[in-house]
Amino acid sequence: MAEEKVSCKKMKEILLSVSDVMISKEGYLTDLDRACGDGDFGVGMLRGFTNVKQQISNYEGDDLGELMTKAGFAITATVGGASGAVFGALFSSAGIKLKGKKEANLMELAEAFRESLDMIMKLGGAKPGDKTMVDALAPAIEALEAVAKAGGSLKEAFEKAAEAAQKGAEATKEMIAKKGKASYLGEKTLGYPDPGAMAVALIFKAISEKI
Amino acid sequence: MARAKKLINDPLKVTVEELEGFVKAYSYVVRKVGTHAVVRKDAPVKGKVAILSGGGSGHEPLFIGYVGYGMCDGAVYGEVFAAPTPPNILEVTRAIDGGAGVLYIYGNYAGDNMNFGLAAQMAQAEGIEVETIPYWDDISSAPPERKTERRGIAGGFYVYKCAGAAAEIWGADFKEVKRIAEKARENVRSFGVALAPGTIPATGKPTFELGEDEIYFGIGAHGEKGVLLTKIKPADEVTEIIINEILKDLPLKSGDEVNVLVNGCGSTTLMELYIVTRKAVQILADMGVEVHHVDVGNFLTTQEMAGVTISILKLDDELKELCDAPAYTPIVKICPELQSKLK
Repeated sequence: MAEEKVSCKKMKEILLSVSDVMISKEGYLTDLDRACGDGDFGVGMLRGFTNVKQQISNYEGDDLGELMTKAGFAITATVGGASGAVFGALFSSAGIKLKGKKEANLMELAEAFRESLDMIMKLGGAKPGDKTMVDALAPAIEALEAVAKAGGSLKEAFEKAAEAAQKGAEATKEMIAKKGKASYLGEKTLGYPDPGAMAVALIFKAISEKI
Repeated sequence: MARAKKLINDPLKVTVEELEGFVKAYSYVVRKVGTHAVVRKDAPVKGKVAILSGGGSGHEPLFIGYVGYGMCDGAVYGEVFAAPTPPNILEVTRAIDGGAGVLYIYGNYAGDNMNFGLAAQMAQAEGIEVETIPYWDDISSAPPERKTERRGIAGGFYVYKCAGAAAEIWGADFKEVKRIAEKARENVRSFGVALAPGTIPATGKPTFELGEDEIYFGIGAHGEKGVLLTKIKPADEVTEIIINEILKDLPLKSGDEVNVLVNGCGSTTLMELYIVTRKAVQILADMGVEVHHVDVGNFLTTQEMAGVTISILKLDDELKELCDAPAYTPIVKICPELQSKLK
């Protein structure tokens, strides 16, 4: 069996699909953020992913890393705030790792997203348990790496990652926010999931459906 | 209590529209760069270290009001209460770069550190010397041993003033201006009290909740958790609490000299601010501390939040001279020549 790879063309389709999902979930993300923060998260993601679509639709190259970096910068460039920086890094850090590659296998994608997680944790200082996107992203990356080591398929890996992200995001309901605007509400965030973590779950679900 | 009625149009366009209005009002001092930034009319000033301020909008006149002669060269806004984006920061950096370096001076918040940090890397890659100086004057946000985790609030005013004067009036180089900015930062402490929250334009939601007769000491500029919730007290008592907290963190003795900033959080009346000022100056004078200069008014607001923050800057000869130096911005006008006519 030939080793499965994701081409630049395929990644473009995936990113466009992820963008459409995030844009369609603006209301849902806003509602989550009203409970935990300023209520501006949904609108920010809408701005960011609309820009992602614009930026990558015009991309004519075949560099997978460059494409993902473009997507990441498109988010940071328009979303602003801490969200813009970390959600942008989710794609741009992976893209920087994959620069120059026309395609990537599962192990390479897992390594690239591991870079994203490292960058996000560095930027925001969040650790698992702080009630942030890290609580969904860390389990997702671990799932990718586990399937990659076991020689599983791309589909299986991203489906497992999506499940892990969803579980991790739901677990944030029982946490008290330690970072970001939500941390100002402290105990009042108990019982509500972190919007950033739920967004990560949405992203990985969308990837798993398209890959 | 907080009111959600505001004079705005599309809540998602408040930042863009307010900047368009601002530059029309202050066209004799500033011009716009892009949609989210203003710079001094004559930027870039060749050979001068440039000062860039910035952060979330929603705290007017913070950042944009400090742009002009002798203070900030530019100010870049993010959306309401959100950090500005790297491309916007970079665009205004290029507009104010006079070839002597650019200092990013902003409040110490996660989003601002991330975005100014990213922009600084990009600017450096373009050959512009940039360093970041977050300020952290809010003593309620962390203990002294973790002061670099503290939030930046109204006391940042002194960092901008001193750095701006060093760059413009003294013609100091990059290293010097950075040293002075950091010194001003280390010598200012702020603490405040809230009486009522402001509301977020896009949602109408208050930034925190407070009972009718409650006041909350140490709450942050975005509604961050405070340190002491009590019932309303007379202004003198409130002012004593605030000054005493600051003095615990910045011990002063007889003979020391300070500048004081009494800042309104948005809807607190000038009458109230003047009453607070009266007591603040009296407490310090009773200690034998010389109050050299007081600034009172709205410098860092949070929409229609009711409350006051007090910032105290401990002076030495350098900081005193820099604070007294001329400045001309939309909200800061220091004209020693004109002032001397009143002696």
